[in-house]
Amino acid sequence: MKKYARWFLFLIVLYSLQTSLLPIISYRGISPDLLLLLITSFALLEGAKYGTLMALGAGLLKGLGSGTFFGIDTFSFMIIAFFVGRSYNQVYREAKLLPLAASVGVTTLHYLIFASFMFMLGFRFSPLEHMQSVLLPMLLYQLVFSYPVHRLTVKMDAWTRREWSQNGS
Amino acid sequence: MSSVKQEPSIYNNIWALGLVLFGLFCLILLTSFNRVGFPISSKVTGVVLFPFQGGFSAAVDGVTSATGFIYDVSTVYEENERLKQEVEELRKENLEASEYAAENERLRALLGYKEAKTQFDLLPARVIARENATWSSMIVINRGSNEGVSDLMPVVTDKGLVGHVIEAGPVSSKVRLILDPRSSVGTLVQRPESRVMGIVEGDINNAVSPRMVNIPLVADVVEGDMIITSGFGGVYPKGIMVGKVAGLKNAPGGLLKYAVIDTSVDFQRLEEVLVIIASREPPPAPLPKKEDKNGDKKEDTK
Repeated sequence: MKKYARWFLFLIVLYSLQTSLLPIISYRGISPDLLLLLITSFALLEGAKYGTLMALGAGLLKGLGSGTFFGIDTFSFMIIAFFVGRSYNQVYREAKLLPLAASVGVTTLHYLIFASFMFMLGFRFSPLEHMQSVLLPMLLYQLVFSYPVHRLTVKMDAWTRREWSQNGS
Repeated sequence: MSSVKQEPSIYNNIWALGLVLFGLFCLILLTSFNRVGFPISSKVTGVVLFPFQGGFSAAVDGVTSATGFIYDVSTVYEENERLKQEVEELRKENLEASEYAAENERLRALLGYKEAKTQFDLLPARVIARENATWSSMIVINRGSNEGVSDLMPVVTDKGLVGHVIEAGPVSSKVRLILDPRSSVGTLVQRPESRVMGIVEGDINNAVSPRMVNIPLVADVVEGDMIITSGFGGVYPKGIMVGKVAGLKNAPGGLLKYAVIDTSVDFQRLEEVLVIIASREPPPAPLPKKEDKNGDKKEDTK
């Protein structure tokens, strides 16, 4: 229970940082999506099952906390966590470049899932223009923040695992 | 035969995931046009997040001051090594003072607006969180239903319209900015010869400039025209400044055009806002003065 409470608190702190502190470095309103980076790292470390659960929590927190389009983040996060989690046995998790490469892939996938929903809901936009003004700066921000978030998640994961094995519960 | 615990098949997991995703898909369709909401869970989330977002938001002021200070000191160092210590201290004091002065100026402007707009009951609020503007534009303010804020209340600054409250929690509220693609504001051109009406809505392609749509191709709208709220729609009172026409473009179809609006509010630097918690008819404007035969001005009493 304590383990889950810790991860929940970590999620809240990260989300509060994302919405309260990071907007000061935003470019035309675009700032990094730390929750997306967190669920990617978490799925890489814990696999598809727990990664998808974490994605569900992170997506619901974002949907309920922000007032943005409810459910799309959760939907996208869960798909991303599932696929990233499936590959966790097939990648070398200590590789320094892994979080950087993963951040580019998942951010693009998240963008494409969101864009598909926006088209489906009747919002019309020019994909190329939008990618240039939104996806590119977003990718740069994600690249910058991917490694620190990954390291934090690895540390947090190691800490909770250690306590878990010591308590034997 | 074997006592090894069988792992649930991957297909079971995929089925479970598929079911959850299908449920989410239905929820997205239902909630995107406000047909269904989650008022209680959303308010609980707001209450949980409030201390964290409030705390981080307060820390932002410190971070802004610190980064500005580091930059200033490095330039002073190059100019004069001998005076570094003195300048450093003076700058520190000056920075604090200028931060207070800037805050004072902002609050004074809001107070001036509050005193000028006697038809509105205004509640000052601080922006404590801001959502990434990738697809939507939302902020969270530190006032909620405990202070009298409720859904659909307009939010302004002394410069003009910010948006409206979409969800008032007990201690904080979510505000949808006029830049959000789901937002639509009934507006008109302020110029007396024009008074053309249109709807200002967020542009998904441009997160910083909304568009005024539904303008007939022949309508009298030119660059530089000021756009104000029309009062239609029941959410925004009439006469609140929205922005200035920065450009005009033909809409697809050839019968209508749209105007790109340069908003009067700088949304990148939004720190304090005012919530209009009640509005009345504005007091009548003073009557125009007429000159009598002696050349003295007299109020028209007709």
